[in-house]
Amino acid sequence: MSSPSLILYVDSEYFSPYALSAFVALHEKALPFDIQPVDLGAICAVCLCGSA
Amino acid sequence: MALHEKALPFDIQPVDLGAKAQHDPDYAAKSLTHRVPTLIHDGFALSESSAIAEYVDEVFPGTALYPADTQNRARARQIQAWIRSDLTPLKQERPTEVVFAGETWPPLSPEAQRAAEKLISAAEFLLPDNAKTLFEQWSIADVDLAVTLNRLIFNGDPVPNHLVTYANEQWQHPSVQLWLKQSSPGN
Repeated sequence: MSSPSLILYVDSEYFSPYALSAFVALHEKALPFDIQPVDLGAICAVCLCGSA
Repeated sequence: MALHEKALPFDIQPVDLGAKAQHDPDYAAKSLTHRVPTLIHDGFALSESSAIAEYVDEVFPGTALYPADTQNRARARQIQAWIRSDLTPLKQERPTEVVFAGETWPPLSPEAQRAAEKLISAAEFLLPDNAKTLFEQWSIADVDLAVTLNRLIFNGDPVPNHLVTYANEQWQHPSVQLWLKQSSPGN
């Protein structure tokens, strides 16, 4: 799939219930979208971000 | 198991994680708050899952994610906001590893037990008469409530039977099962 208009960044472990909620929202709309897993461990070490 | 009810294509792009993620300029630039989930739609970046759901529901046709009735829609948003902002001791002592990785954690502290009782009490109020969904039709708030109940249920903590039935049925939703396939690739 080239140049998707929808990309969802999720935690790479797929353990975030809020990422699940956003994933279900998109999937229910029957639209093609790309999933981009993000390694939260690596990110959190740098900028102290979290999952929401 | 009917995983692909809607035959929706989506690509998994397992990029070079670890070193890559923390320096990923795309993600850092696009995600306002550096949090997941973040949705990028034609260059517009949005984080916070309930904001994403509301945006997606407004922009795209298809299955409604929120109730049509104004008060029910407000209630759905209330449930989502409450689950995200409250119940902290419960979420700490029943982390999502319980739900997504099969972990079992020790008995709840008094604080977490109080949070669990609050959750169960609210769920019983919201789901009278063995209701299968919070509102007349499925909504995204059902997913959030089922996940939260499953923090207790999957750990073996006591939860009333009709709430267990509700959460189990919500867990069979094809979109949820598709996600679980990603969190447990071996299954």
